Amino acid sequence: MTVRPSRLAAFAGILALLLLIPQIVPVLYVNVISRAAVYGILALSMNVLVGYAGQASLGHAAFLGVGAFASGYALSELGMPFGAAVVVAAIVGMVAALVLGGVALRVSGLYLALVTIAFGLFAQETLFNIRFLTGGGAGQVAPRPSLFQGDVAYTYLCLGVLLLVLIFDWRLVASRPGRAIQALRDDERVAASWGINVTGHKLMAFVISGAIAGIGGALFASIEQIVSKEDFGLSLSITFLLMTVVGGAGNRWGVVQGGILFAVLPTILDRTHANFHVFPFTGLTATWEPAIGAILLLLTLTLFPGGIAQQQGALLSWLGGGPFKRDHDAQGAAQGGGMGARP
Amino acid sequence: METVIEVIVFGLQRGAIFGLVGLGLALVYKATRILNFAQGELGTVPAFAALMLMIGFESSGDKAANRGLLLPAIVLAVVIGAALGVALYVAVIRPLGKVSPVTSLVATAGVALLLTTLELNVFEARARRFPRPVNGGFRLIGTSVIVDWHTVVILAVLGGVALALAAFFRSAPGVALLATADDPFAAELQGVPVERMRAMAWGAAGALGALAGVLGAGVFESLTPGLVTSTFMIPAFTGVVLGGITSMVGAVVGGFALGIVSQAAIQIVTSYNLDVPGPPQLAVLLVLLAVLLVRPQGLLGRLA
Amino acid sequence: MPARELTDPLLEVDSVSIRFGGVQALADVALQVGPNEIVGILGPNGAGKTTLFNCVSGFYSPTRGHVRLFGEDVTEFKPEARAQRGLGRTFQQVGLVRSFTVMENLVVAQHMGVRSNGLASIVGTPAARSEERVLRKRAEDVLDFMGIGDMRDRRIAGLPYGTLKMVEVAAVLATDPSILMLDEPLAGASGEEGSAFCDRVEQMRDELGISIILIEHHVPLVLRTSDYVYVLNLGTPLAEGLPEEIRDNAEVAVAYMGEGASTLA
Repeated sequence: MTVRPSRLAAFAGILALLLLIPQIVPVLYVNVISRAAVYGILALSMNVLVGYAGQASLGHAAFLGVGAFASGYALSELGMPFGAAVVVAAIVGMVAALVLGGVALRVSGLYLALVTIAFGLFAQETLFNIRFLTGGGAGQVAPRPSLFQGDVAYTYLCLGVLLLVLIFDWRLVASRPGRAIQALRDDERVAASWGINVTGHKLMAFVISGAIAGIGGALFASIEQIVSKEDFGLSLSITFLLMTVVGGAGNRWGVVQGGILFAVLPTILDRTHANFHVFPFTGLTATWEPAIGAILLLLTLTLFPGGIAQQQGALLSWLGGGPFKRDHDAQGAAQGGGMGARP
Repeated sequence: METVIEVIVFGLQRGAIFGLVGLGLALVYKATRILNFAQGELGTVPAFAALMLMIGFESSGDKAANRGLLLPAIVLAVVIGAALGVALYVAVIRPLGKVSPVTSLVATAGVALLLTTLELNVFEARARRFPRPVNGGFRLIGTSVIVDWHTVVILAVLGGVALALAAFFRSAPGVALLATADDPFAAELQGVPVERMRAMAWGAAGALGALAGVLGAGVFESLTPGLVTSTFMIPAFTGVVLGGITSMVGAVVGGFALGIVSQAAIQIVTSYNLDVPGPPQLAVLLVLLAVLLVRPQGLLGRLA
Repeated sequence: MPARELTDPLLEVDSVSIRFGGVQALADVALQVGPNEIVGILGPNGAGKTTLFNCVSGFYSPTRGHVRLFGEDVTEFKPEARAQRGLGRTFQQVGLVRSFTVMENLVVAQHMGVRSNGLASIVGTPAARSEERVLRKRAEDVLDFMGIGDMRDRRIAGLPYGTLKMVEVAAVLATDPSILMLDEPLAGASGEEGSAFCDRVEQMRDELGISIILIEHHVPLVLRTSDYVYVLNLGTPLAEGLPEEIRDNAEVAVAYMGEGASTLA
């Protein structure tokens, strides 16, 4: 692939925008940008599972939470450095995914969705209430690393990690296991007939997804520098699913935009921070934001299975090295990824 | 011994609601191969409608519910539940087209979120008193355990519904419905009105949901937005899997099993003074994992 | 007609039966495939040909009977384990990754042949990169062999049916099978294309040393190409033998053409 100057300029522009945003956003909202970066990471985590492997998790908030509490515990109780705490969070997320997926994926994708729902509820009611690990109702403290103490500096850290996860995602898709995962999404029988271990690769996708969610959790914990179990309800899990599908399951640029959209939506709808952690099922205060998300989801699934990515087809094709033209053949497939209609 | 009886009595009460929700889940799965995450809200929304009727449609006030209107309120709830079920099928499921089971599960999860948000915005996030059809209880002979009359009512309703469904699946329209799920194309060729049968199945699931909503709110004697989803859905899901996902009897048996297991978990944690938060949720996850490890086809089902 | 007994069959299907609910889809079906041969399977619609393929490749597990690959009993093995032992197959409804290009399909089909591990592949080590080039080169060779080299950058969605069938065969060839099972590869092809394809199947046997099992409705082509033929009817073995024996078998003719027929040709 030859990188033309215009395309290079576009990438430079995106990078400059990312670097500028934390500087120009009012201080009050800088943490919203950090949250958007974390949601972008979570969207990529969901995308590995939903977009590439064609499976769904309805309990990803629990993986975020597991990573957040693991990191918080490592930082404040064990006195680990931030980098080590992120690694701990990633490993804990992987192990949780390995255990749940190892049991559920032997049966079918539907059961993985069920097990993740049950895991989400268990995490919220049991795991995150264990006082010595999570601080119970008081919450677990998760200090920021000394180099990234300020809100703006921490935002750059979150954006930097998002970039790293994007690069990993790009490599994964082009790798042998990444291709095998996408092959089984399209047709498990064909993948098996080519000698691809179907269950093993589904499990691999789930474990990778768990690790990325764990990393996202570690970053999430240090945004407000304290986490409590109220942050990780069932509706947040559904929100993660919404932003992946609305963004365009299977397309990394689409899902990241979906993540950012859902992270800033509450702020746009209500410029006070009061509604920030509020979601239904946990039932605190009312807000219309989840309803908007749900309607976007239903519109996406029924009318535009490719999501935001499908709308930007031409632009994304050009950024990816192709012509500035919507790839019609690819629409239901590469871009509609895990959620598109099956022929 | 008394404790064991108590656990069973309370377990049966919860389990019967799990069973009602589970029957709706299994019915829809049997007919359209979709796991309907919105089944819980097909219960909460009609329950709110029933409450509105009983308080004379005054959403702002905290007027006490008029128990005299409970019966018409339940009828209203069932009608609304059925209408919601059909609407869900026509407006969401059918336009989705032929998608993977995982995708349709995601869509119904979106519907659940939408309905809960509507409830929150209309009725606010607080509990409202909700009456039971029959108050009080009786002492179980030879023990000091009190059984709520409400438990008897739920069990009776569940029994009636289960019998009706069993009879339905032996009748000609029931067999036709199963045929539409197995091979829609062939069923169409044989003159089965596939679309109408499916919409009917979703409507029936909605009516079942409404019963679960009204009786479930009665269990707590209060109603909050998202109630059925947050308290009954996940155990009901697990119960259905335990029972074998397409089996009606399995959904009921699984529901009872989950009710008793959850109650037993609470009892064990309290009586041994263990420091384990959320025992029912822990129990549900463990049961689900154990079933998938040992007998993934469930107790009464065949592996699809 | 007596069943043949090969001394060292690559594939042996030993009295396999399978029931679905109340329907006996296969009853006591036996089949043997030796090295370097083309085995045809004939039978009218509903004879159980594809069901037999599914039992052999591991997508169905037979109610009774055994499947042996290279002397090993694989009856309980998963499909991928059988593929890893050198069994390749195509599907009646084109088995390809629909969201990929032709080239990507042939690269992922070589999954089993890759030496470097997954992590090296994600990181993109020099060894993994050079191996990637080898995979692409090999994919191009296979596409050229199948005469569809010009299709390599096309997406699967949007290709005509006949081409898809050829891409599918190419993908399975790329897995480097010892036994190749083809399920109606010529559906939708013209007579001329069919004839050219049969030449290619013979080439696979002679030049690549692959044994081929062929399900195809076009009876004359199967009789022309096959070294040995099995005939199924309603899930039971009806006849087996050399192509010329099958052509003149009255029972087979009746099953295919109805009462009164005496030969297939």
